[in-house]
Amino acid sequence: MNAFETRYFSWLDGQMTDVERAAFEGELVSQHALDPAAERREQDAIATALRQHAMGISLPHADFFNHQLMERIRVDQASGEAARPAAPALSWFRTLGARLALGGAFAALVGLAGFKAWIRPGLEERPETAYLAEVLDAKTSGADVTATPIYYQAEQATVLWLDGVEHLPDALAVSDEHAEGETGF
Amino acid sequence: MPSATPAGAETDDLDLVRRAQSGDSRAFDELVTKYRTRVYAMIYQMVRNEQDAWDLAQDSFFKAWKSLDKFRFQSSFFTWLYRIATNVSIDWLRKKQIRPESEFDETIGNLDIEPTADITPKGEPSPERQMERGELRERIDAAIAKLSPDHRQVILLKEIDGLQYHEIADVVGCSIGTVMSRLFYARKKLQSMLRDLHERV
Repeated sequence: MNAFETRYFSWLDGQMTDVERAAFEGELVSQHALDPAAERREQDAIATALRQHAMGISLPHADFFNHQLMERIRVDQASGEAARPAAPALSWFRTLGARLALGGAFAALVGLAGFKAWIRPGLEERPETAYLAEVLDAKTSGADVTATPIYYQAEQATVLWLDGVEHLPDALAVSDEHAEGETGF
Repeated sequence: MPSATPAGAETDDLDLVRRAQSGDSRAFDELVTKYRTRVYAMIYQMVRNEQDAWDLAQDSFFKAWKSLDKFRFQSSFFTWLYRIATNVSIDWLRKKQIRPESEFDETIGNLDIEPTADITPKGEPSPERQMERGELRERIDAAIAKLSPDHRQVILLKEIDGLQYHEIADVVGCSIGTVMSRLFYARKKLQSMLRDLHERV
């Protein structure tokens, strides 16, 4: 730090004691060829001029200044929220996933409970009905195909007998023993 | 010289800052209303253009809003805001590569105008007085413009905004010794350019 500058402002701000001021003013005269009174007067004049100059400056359209700034802040906040989708999206995804998982688990639980409560007792009472339902899907272009359901007591099975089917897809061909012009399954 | 922000005002400011930090934009709006003219005036003195000063003042307050969470209450809000505003101004000056003029413009030194009217309406400044004021303003503007941004900054903060040395050091981000050194240089340069002012002020 320049000691002279520190003392200069201390002198200018009137923060020196009488002794310090006298010594410093002597230094101004002897070492810097300055008239202390003139120096202070000129510096005071500059400070006053600067303050008067600044007093004449007023913010044009002051109310609009606030309005525009607050609008800018509002837009920034809105875009900031829009530009922050990662965390909310992940949160949303996780929330939805958790809800789906919870819903699925609940549905499975209800289904299991319902199965145990209503379906399984019925199956146990009528075990013959278990595993007997088999749904087949097939189409034929023949107009004279007829279907006849036949119940075989010994097998405890109902067979749908088809007349007029030329052939069956391989996947549905159960056996060849009945496939002689007639197909049954 | 008293500090630029009295203790009561500082307490009010800090309360408003706390509210603004929690997202209360109306509290920030109050701070803007309180300091907009001073910030604008300071920036205007730096850039010497109304529209640029207006825009830069907007940028300063907007930056302040964006950085509010970084305000740690270790200085006054006013000082912190001024630091932002001065940095915005200096950055703008540097980007624009606006340099202070190296020499005193001769035309500015020849602006003395002889009074021409003997009779003036009461209550209004005389035409020659108005011209004198205009001349004074131009001369001060021109003199300030000749300072480097760093010197301009410290003298404006000291003489116009009334900041204390330690507050200027806080705003500028340098030591008090550097502040005094810059201030001394700026004052001496202004003194040489405006030597006749003390006879008028």
